[in-house]
Amino acid sequence: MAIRGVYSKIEKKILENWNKEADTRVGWCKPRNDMPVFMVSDPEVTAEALTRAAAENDPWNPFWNLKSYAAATRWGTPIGHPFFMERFAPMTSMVPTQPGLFLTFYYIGYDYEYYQPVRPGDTIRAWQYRPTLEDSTDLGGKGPRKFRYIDGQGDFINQRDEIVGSMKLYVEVTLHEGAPPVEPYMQEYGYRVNELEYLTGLYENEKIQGDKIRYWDDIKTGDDIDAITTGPTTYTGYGMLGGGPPTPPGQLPKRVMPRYAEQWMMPNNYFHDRKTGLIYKTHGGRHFNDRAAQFEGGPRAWHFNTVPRLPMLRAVTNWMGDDAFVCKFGWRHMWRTPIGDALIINGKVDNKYIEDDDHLVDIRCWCLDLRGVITDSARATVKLLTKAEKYPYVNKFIKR
Amino acid sequence: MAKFKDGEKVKINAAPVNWPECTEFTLIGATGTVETWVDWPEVMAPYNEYIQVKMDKGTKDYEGNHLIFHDVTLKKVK
Repeated sequence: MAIRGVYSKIEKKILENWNKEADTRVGWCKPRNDMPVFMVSDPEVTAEALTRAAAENDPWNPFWNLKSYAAATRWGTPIGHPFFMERFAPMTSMVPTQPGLFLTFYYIGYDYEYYQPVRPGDTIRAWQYRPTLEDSTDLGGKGPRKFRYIDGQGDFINQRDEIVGSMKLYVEVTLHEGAPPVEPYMQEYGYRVNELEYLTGLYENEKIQGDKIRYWDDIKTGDDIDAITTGPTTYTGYGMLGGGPPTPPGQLPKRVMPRYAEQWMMPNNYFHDRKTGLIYKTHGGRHFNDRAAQFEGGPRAWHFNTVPRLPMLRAVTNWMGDDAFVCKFGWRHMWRTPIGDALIINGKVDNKYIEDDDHLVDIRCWCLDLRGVITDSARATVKLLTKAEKYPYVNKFIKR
Repeated sequence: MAKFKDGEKVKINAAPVNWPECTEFTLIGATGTVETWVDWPEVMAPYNEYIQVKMDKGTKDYEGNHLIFHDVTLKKVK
């Protein structure tokens, strides 16, 4: 068992390598070359780039997706969906382990803050802070080595040198001597007809507040926001995004075969059966292959982070309407939700208050799995209009 | 402040908040032990109403699994 602050030779090597890499990560973020093309944007923001990106985050709300619709709102143009800035996000990487210590990690979640909308004509760049790693090994010396890892921490900055938003990613890293403990296997969730009818009803009746202004004055703490749903998911849908883009159907794979190396963390290309030593190919590992997921301790292949994250934000933006603005969104990816499950996204107004003349509400969301488990949760802060202010924010400008 | 501590025995005492009528909640009455999901107070404090429970032996379909519930659906077992 590990002792906080006291390291073995292998652990010292891991920390030395991590520190060297962390030093290289500070500074202006270069365009990412580790992401599929559809997830990378030109720094010069256009209306087309905003609506194209929105289609991947929330393809249903016309406010994010239709240029002409957005032009006829308070904003006058499309504005960036809250997850638009991820396209410029800092590089992230896992703490590199060494043979002998198997690394598992919980991708805990993100915290975002937004200070102003991103608009066509903006140029966005990102400044990355040095990742941090804090030893959080149990002080009683009972558990394995654990670290609190903050990665992908950065500010998004426009052409006027204004920070328009910021983000931070939290990860918990565990180093196991030998194989990690494995969660008991879970059966695939089988649906009853009335469950499917209920989910279909949620899809068909999803409400978008749109151009009807939701005033702060009318909100009460404890108000429910309308439930929405996502799923039942499939291995070929969201789940496999975690493995990068697959070869498109009808095309031969590229003439490249990843070289095998013994796996000491999440297997993305290959993993070995610990009993037989035989090697198996996988694409997407934990999010696509039950046995690859079990190799690193999961119950079976589980949802990629966008599966709960996107609809939790969608529930908030559906509710708030076109005239509101998301100021903060934080999210925790709590449960390893099996592929094939369906989530019902619920939300409640937690608090309403005034801060620096902004009329704000805090909303909490949670994903309820039909197994009866809470899988993910989120906290959002939204700025709403108040009936007390003069609106719209326009002036008569005479130049004749 | 979280309502339950690591190592406490709990029972699933109520259906989840906003549980839909379309289906039965089958975990009612099941028992288990609270285990901290992630020990990182400043990151997890706004979310401390969610409690991870390692389900006891004999729990139908989820024996030994770690499941997460709202604190209001759990009750301490003496």
